[in-house]
Amino acid sequence: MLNHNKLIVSHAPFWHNGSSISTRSYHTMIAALPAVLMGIFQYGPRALGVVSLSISFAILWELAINKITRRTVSIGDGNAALIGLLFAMLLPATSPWWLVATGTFVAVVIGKHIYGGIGGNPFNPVLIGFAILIAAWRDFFDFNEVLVNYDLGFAMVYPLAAVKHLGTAGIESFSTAGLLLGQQSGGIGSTFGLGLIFGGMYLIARGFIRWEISLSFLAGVFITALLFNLNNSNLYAGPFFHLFTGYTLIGAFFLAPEDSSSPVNFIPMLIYGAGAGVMTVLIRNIGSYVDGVVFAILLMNLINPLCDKIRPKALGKVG
Amino acid sequence: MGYMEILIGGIFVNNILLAQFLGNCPFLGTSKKMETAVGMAMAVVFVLVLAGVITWVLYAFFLVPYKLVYMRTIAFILVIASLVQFVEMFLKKSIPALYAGLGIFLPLITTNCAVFGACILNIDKELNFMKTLVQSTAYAVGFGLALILFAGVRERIILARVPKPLQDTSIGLVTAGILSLTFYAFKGMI
Repeated sequence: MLNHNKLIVSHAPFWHNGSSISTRSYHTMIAALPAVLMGIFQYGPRALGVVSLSISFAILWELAINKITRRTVSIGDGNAALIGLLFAMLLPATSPWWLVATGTFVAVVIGKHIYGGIGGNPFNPVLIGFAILIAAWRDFFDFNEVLVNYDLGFAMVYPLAAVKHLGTAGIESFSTAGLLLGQQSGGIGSTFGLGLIFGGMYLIARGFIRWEISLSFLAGVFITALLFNLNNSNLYAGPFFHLFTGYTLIGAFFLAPEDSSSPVNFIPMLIYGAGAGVMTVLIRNIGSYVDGVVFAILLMNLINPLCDKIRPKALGKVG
Repeated sequence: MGYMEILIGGIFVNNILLAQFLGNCPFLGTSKKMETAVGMAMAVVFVLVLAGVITWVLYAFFLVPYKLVYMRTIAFILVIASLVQFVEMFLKKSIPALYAGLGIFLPLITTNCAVFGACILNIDKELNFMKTLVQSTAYAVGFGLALILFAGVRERIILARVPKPLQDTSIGLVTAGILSLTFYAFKGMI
């Protein structure tokens, strides 16, 4: 990879800064660890099983499709493992094994590899896998139903379902601090807000994701939720509630800034993030799904190629 | 139902391509390049809005009074075909490049299920004249929107290393399915 012979006359670049796909994947996984460990701590071995199974299946599918298409084996770059990890973070701890297997198959094979592998996918693979599962087996993602047997010392009510069915009267027991510390039911790695924020900060500081997308996503959620709340505070929850529940934080820091399905220029990034945020709250408040992050980001992935047409003028171009 | 609801419903929630699956032939055929997609979208907007209005007038003032409702399909196709012929002559004279780009898909608007389906849906829902106009516009804009979004995605896919058996139309069909899945976002909004 790196040419270590010292005395060779060549063109620039002369030095490689060491960044690679595997570095990106492993650092993203490290950033996701606090939230995942919290989930495993809360839900016990069952959650650990789902996480391990998801990562293993993702790598397995990647290896299989590499062999079938006779391309170089790409499981070493860690992207498949990352897809598996992020996918497990969205799932409830009680997911059966076949759900994990199907989801990771869709994510890795249909989401990524049939579009030519890493870097070619127009949609976020994790979200495609998850969206198809939601459309096909909606019952397994009704968090009130599937997590009913857990007693973790706080109300096992999925906050977004509560606000959807009961209005703000149903969510009075949730405090913002409690939501941040993971005292809510939900996916394995998506409830511990503080951990996700720390992970996101780490990724932004290291330059692996762009702050524009995450920030504009959160701003979109905040402003839209605030407008709904001001309009009718009995029916629609306040902005902080929407920021720290469901998949908002994992979406802002891990799903929306996915490399190949998000824009590259400044203004398109703002449009992309804010659009996803606005759509998220629209789906939560007036749509038919309880949480809107998954479909909102997928919809913005679709608009991404058009957004990217807004680009700076080429140097020296007249008119 | 207010006009705003009809408009949003027609464009997003009941998108004629991605929620009702009508008119998939030009959707796959003309979406490889952005220019042809935009041209096709414009042609469909023109034909669909005019066809929706004219078929409503024809139905209300001719077919129903003379008890010829059973002739609906043939009469509507006739209206759509003559409109398409009009568009075709116009494009051939004034924008020959677009005419060549659209190729066979221009005359095929005649049998475009989206146009005919929208006309039939308007009649079956028993909408009045103004609502028919708004509904037809909404369906047409929804068609154009879906086509242009799809063309944007497809222009990127052409640059990617898609495995050989999946190239071109196959990957287009898979992507169309995913597009339809993303439009689940609008489910239940009205």
